[in-house]
Amino acid sequence: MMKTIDVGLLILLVIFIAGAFIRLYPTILYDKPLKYDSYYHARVAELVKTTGSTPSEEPWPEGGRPHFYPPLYHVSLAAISSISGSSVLDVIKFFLPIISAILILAVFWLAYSYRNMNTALLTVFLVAFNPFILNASYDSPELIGLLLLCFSVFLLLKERPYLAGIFLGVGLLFNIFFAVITFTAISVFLIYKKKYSVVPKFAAIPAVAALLWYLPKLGDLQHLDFSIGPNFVAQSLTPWMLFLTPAIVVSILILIVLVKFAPKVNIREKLDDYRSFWTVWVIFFTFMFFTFVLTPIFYPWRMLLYLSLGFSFLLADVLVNTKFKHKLIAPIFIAFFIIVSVATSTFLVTSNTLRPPLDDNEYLMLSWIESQVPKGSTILADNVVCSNIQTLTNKTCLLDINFESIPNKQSWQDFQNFFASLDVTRSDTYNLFRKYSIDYIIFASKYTNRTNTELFADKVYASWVCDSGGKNCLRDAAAYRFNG
Amino acid sequence: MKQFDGKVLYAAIIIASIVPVLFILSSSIKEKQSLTEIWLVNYTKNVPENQSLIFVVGLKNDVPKNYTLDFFFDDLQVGSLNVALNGLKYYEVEVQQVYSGKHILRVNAYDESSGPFGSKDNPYYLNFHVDVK
Repeated sequence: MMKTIDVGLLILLVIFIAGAFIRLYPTILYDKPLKYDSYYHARVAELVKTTGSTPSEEPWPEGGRPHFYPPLYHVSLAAISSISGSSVLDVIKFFLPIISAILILAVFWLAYSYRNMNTALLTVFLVAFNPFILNASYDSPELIGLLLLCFSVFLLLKERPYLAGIFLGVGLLFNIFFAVITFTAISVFLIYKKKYSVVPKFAAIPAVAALLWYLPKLGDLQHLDFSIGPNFVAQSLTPWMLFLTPAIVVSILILIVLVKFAPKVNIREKLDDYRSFWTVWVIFFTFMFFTFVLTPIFYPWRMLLYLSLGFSFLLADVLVNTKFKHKLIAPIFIAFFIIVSVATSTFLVTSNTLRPPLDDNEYLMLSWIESQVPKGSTILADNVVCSNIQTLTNKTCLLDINFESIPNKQSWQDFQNFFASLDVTRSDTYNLFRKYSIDYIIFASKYTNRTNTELFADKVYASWVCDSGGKNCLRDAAAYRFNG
Repeated sequence: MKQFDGKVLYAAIIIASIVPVLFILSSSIKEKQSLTEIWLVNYTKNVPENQSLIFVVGLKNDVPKNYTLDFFFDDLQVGSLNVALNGLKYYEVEVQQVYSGKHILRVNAYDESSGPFGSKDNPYYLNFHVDVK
């Protein structure tokens, strides 16, 4: 027994080191935070660090916009930055990848608490090399929620719902989406198990946390918006969701067949809520993912993070604790999922998919904006460039990344349409400049619909990037100044 | 019926954990790229008729590269420079005796060997409007 545990812990150490390495490698490679949400969070954390409190409003050209995002992530970043003496941008580069590495250990602890060493090791491996968890390890405090979820699930299955609720409540103060969707999934499980009275006990602490944070903001709730963001993001992500659909369908079908028909071993019935929990979890998030067919309002692309986490727990449990008719079936399944996990996560890390949201020439343009655009100028850029401008240049911009708080929906949509549409007419462009008193429009390299802008604006800046030989160059990023 | 054998699992996990680390370490580090920028430094927006118009652009890159700069006043080419750029330089062009009306100044930057962007047929450029009265 001791020997198995020692070998198991050694293998856990190997998985942890390898998992931590592939999480930290992309962020070490670049001097700026990866993923575009990081820049919004860095800005808010900088505000917290500067003022010593969570802002009730974020700076905004049209007079500020209400700040709804729960406080603990930004407070944590600001506190670590203050204590360590590092900049918020440096802290944000490493904070979530490290949390994501710690998640590997928490997953092991949870799986080992309810199963055996083999199940725990396979679970932890599937999480460590899970491409969706890896991809989310740089920009979303949902990762902190997943870490807290491990403790919450452990306590819930031990029938200690109040304590389980504390972890969900803390998670809510890091990320509201995590708390709402996780609470819903767990409630479905409790209802499925006919444990109706546990639901309010589990909900008590998260409800108090939600009231404490949102009650003072009731007056601003009309600015809370869940329509513009999902529709905007869905435009770029729906093709990916369609691409992933066959793989998800096949994986879930295999899993359901195994759960339903394969005989179990090593599982004491008393503890079998573990498998029921992850089965309900996987079914719930599979359903939520496929809501993208009807509407993006539930942020279906974010369900893949939760689905893949539950899939890892359930798959490992089923493969290790099942009697198969042929001894090679389980190894074949395991080999298949290991190959897929390793191949996909390696591709993610080496293909520059995990990188800062702008190209080097676009960051060069931001340096020009910092030094040459007069403070107080009205700048329009797309959401990602705007967010970077506001974080890196201390200048304001007419769009931003956080889609849930939008004080002026009409202007926000006008600006997004301008960048999204290839059919913006000359008069549309002119009216946009005049209506919103725009001084500068900034285009990232990817935009081709600039021609009408040039009729009313001077193209005063361009920067471009070429390969090391200088032969293959990309379209320029450019700044236009209104000349009307 | 057989239960899954742990030894196979251990071996598979160890190998599969080490492989991506080795692969990443042996893969090429981020490829070096060259960056270039051009910007309008100075020009006079409103010019009296028959006066000269001077405009200045800055050009900067981080690795040595040759460029041709062509300057235009509307469709009329008013200057051309072949530059071996290494770092930051400013280029000044004077357009003499401009005539009245609204005009467009333009500077094209291109390298004959570049493509698809930055070639003579698809140059990088700045353009700006002047009003001569």
